[in-house]
Amino acid sequence: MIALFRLLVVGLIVLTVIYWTVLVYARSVRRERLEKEYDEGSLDGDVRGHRDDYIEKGMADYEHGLKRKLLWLVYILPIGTVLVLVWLNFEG
Amino acid sequence: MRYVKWSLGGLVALLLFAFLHYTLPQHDIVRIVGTENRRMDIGENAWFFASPDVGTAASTSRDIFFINAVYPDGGTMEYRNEDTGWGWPPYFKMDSFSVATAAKELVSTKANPVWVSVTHYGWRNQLFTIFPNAVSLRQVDGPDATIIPLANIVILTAFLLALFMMRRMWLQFRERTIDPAVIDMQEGIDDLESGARGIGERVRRLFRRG
Repeated sequence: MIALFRLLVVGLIVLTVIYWTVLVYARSVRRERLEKEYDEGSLDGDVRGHRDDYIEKGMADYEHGLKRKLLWLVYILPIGTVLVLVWLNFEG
Repeated sequence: MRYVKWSLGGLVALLLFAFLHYTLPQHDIVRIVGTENRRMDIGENAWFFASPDVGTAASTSRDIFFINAVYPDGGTMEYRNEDTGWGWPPYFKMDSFSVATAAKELVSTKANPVWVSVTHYGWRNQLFTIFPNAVSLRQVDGPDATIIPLANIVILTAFLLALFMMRRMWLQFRERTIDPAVIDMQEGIDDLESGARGIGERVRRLFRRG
């Protein structure tokens, strides 16, 4: 039982660190792309507006988008793999 | 300095290779000639043995299942058959008793061989008395059966992808966070220098005038 507990604690800490680094990276990439989009100057007049507003709105859209939710796969994939492995073990 | 760098790099690569070679699953095609369980007092070689079975008490002396096998070319191999439980390496193997039963069923003679693909990790070393851990057994048609190392393909691909992503993340962090900070700092120093020069100039001018 102690081994299972240790796995849970260490696993959750590692996954959380990975989750946060990937999240910071994803936000940074998104922000850079929004900045570049704006600075290219090819946006229409009514979408364009103020530079900071444009970027903040893009970031807010990202926070509610599908891609942001897909980051939960950082938790789901490893935990799912472990569950499948344990289950296969009991089956076999 | 270059030699130091290359030696260190080589050492890290070697350790990484050894680690992966020990931990990742491999497949042997063998004929199982017998099984036994043997009381082992595990000492200096404890690193290369798993922990006691899930649910049993911790001890350095315990019974361990063994599988004795012969390669198609006549070479011998001995596998231990231990639970890895919830520990390292993450095979989550808890069915060592079932594996022991399966091994007993697959025992065959030289005259009438049954070939078995043994999935295992670890090394056999006679000097330190360490054994690879058999994870699962599967009967195959013959000694030349092809086995696709699916798990290794998936794990190594994921590993390379992770390395690639870590590099991308580091470059992004440097471009967006470190470089701007360095530029800020340099500009600050430049301001200070020009400011200082300004003061010096003013002082000199003052004296010239005087």
